Amino acid sequence: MESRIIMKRRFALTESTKEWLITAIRLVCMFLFLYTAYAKLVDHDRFLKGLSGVHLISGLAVFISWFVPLIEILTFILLLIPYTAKSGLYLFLAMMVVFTGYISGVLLWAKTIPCHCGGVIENLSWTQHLWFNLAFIGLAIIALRLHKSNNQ
Amino acid sequence: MKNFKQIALGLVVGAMAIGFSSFTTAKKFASVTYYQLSQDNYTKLTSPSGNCDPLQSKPHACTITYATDPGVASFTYSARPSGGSESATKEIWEQ
Repeated sequence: MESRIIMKRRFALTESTKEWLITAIRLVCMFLFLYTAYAKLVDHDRFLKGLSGVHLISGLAVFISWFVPLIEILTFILLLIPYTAKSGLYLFLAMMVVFTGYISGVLLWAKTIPCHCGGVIENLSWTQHLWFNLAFIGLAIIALRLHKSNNQ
Repeated sequence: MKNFKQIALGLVVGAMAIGFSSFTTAKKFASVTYYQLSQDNYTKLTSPSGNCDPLQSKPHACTITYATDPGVASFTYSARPSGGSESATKEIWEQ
């Protein structure tokens, strides 16, 4: 019994390590969203054209083409301010889940698959893209769990 | 002070994100893209209309992009200038 307790303590992260990990994950998420938001806004015509090519969402293409980068910038701002970082992580997680759902939907139902993700991420294959998104979902979940355990 | 440091670090990361993003976007703008208009004909267009069918065009790519302009208006796949970056067959370029 005693040895079990010792083992648990050995693998427990210190408060400062947890804080460092949360900050690192926040910064990575911030980089990703601002990077892609900027690419979508600078090359907006191409992004809009790509969205219009997907039958499932073509009716909402104009709205989505502005809404997605703006929400990404809002997420960046929320993640930037330490006081709102937790809300930012929740919004980031929600957005990534929606993006992953969209990719899965496009892979399953769309006849043709255009890519309009922004920046170098466009070079990923769709399976790689799916894993990429899942990795970021995992990171956001880890950060939120660490946040929770840090506050306890 | 700790919060101030975190915000400063976040702003540095934001600046880096915009920097990298504009770098990749600028590269894309400077490049020249040839679109497949028929089974074996690629034409340089700025505003393409039509559709590249990835199933019919196999094994050819829908678009071929060059970092610098090869200086020809069109070419066939077999006589394409070297150094081009071919799109994956998944891609459509217009509906």
